[in-house]
Amino acid sequence: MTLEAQVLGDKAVRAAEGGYEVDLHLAWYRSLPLSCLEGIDLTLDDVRVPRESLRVEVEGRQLSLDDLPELDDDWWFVQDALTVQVPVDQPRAQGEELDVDVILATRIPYIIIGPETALVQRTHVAKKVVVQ
Amino acid sequence: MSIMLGNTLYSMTNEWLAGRYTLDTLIDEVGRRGLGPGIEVIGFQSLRGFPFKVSDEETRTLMAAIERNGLTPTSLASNADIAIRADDWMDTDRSVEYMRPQIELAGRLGFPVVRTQIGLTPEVLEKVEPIAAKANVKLGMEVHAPEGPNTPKVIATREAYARIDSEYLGFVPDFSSCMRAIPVGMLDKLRRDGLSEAGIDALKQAWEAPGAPFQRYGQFAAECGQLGEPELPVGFARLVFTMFGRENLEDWREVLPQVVHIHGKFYDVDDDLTSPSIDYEGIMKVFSDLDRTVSMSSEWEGHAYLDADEESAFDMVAKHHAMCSRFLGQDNLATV
Repeated sequence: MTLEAQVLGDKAVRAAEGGYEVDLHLAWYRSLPLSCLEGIDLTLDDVRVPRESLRVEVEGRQLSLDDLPELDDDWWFVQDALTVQVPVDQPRAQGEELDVDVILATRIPYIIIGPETALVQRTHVAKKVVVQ
Repeated sequence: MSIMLGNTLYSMTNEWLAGRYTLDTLIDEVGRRGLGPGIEVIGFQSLRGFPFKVSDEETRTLMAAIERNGLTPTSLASNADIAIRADDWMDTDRSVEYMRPQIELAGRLGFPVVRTQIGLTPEVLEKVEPIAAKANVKLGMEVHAPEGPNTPKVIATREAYARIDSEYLGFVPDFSSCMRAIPVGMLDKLRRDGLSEAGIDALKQAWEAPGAPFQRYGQFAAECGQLGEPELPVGFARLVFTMFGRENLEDWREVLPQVVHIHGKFYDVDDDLTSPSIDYEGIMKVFSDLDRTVSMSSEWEGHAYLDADEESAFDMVAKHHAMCSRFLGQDNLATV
């Protein structure tokens, strides 16, 4: 599906100090506030990256996923990438292939599917990318 | 009396998400290809900072692009994001304050209609109506699959409208409500994801059966369990029951006097200018009975299952205009 294809581009993973930077795109047709980003389940080369070690870059700040529920007026514009910093002990070098498996979970704040329940869109992408 | 054709930038979702266009180059391409005159924009898709912090530069870019292409603003699509905070959903007053900048921006930019969605409660409607009246903008509640003009949620809105009794409250029919077949492109997508022909047949049968959409999906999913179908396409097929409605197209007549804008939802147009999944001939006949000119956005949603490289949204909208023109006839087409 096309929205899945957007999530992780072929050049989405860059080597960075102490790990990688991963650029993610929304799997939805419109922008959402960061308060609606419920989860990023990231597995690299079959190793699950702990949720608490991830940092997302928001206007120069480095925030953990647990910081996001408050951010209902910080917007992830639908054309922009969200950069996630991923610490890894022994990252692959630039030019090497990496197996990336990501599940992006976003709450769609206007699609109400039951009492006190909004739709949570979970998009799963698994692909090989070359580290940039 | 007549319909003014146009386009919503939502049709070009694939091209937009892929970053192939900026706001002004996208509108230029719509203008260059003659896909107006009407133009509709989803605030949360096209405008940075929407709804509270849209910059003057962004609005100038939008309006300059609309003007230089000779387009006519028709509708600014809004959303009522009541669950923006997981732990603290918006109450009526917060919902009103969330809708206010969306409606006021539409007024400032010259959009005559704000598309609203079924999530707006009668209490919120009552409080936003004066905001709309002051901005001289009509609120058009979208009637979209799985709802139709006579489903309970829409009936509740019709009753609220009757009570509030304002010319600023109306409807935006979306033809997803009254489809005659599941688009072939969607079935092909499900086949690619591993659904067997037996699964496809079960899906068609469940979709055509009477009953509530979620019940029909449940029947289909249970049958797929017995057939041993893979999980991925069965999960994805939930969309078939929410995106593609089976209401009667003649029911639109009941809300015609309250129609303020139209979503010409479509998925497919054949070379002979008919749509296999939606009976445009029948629908255009109903809307030819409007007693005034109403705008209609061509709204291609094939991007739900096709990539930008598989189909050009611009070409699809051009075909949709040709099909609607054919069924409406010159007398029922408005020009600017």
